[in-house]
Amino acid sequence: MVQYSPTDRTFAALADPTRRAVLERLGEGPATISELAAPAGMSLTGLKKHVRILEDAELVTTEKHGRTRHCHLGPKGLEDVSDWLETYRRGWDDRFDRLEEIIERKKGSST
Amino acid sequence: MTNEVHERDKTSITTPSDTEIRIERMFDAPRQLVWDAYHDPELIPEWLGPRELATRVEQFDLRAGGSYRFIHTAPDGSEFVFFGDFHEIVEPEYVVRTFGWEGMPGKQSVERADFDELEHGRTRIVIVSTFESKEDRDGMIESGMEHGLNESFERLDDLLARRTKS
Repeated sequence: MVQYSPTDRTFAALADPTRRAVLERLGEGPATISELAAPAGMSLTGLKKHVRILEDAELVTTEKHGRTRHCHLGPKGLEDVSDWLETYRRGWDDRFDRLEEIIERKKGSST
Repeated sequence: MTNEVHERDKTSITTPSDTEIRIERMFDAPRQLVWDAYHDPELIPEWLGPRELATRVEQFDLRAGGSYRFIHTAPDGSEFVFFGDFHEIVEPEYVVRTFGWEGMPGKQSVERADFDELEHGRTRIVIVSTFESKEDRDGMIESGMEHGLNESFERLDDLLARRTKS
């Protein structure tokens, strides 16, 4: 039974540099698929796949206006992008927890 | 631009500017003790590095102009080599050193670690790393994140492997 948590989906979505670039671009304001595809040097189809993954992770929402699809940051948008820094923080928290154990040990032996 | 992120837990990480990362953590122990534990090359393998990687310290010459070098080894044998030089050491107050990773050649950061003496025998470690550019800084954060991602992907691989066998 593999259950994909929203966090897993977020990380998977953020694992790709193109998708991170898309989020960064959308942080500046909404854009159409073709506006996103051009700087990434990608086909519309290729970019659409990335947008769909971001949509599944609720990082991006899209709306169709006539023949163009407009993308903007989803409700979780920026909050979850900061998970990027949060993962880095957790790594340090874990290191410092272990340093703390060492310090406690030393404290015990010095008194 | 100051960007405060997740202060609720024990270690706080902030980005005081586009080229810096600031890491802060309190310890319930006197400063000299924290300093000694932090700078003991024999203890470094026990804490500095992701839990599932083996760490060995090849060099740790704690004096101005001295060098350090440590290596994390993954279960698959791949190695992550970190290195740098100590520039300024004022025991037990602060250390300034360069920090480089062989995975990002030519992208060294300057790291200052302060050990602040607080009331009630507590100590605060504040590490500020300064990178040459925002790209270098984000690259370092990303490589840390990708490591965490690889771990979860490995777990996912294991799960999938078990499922396909059964």
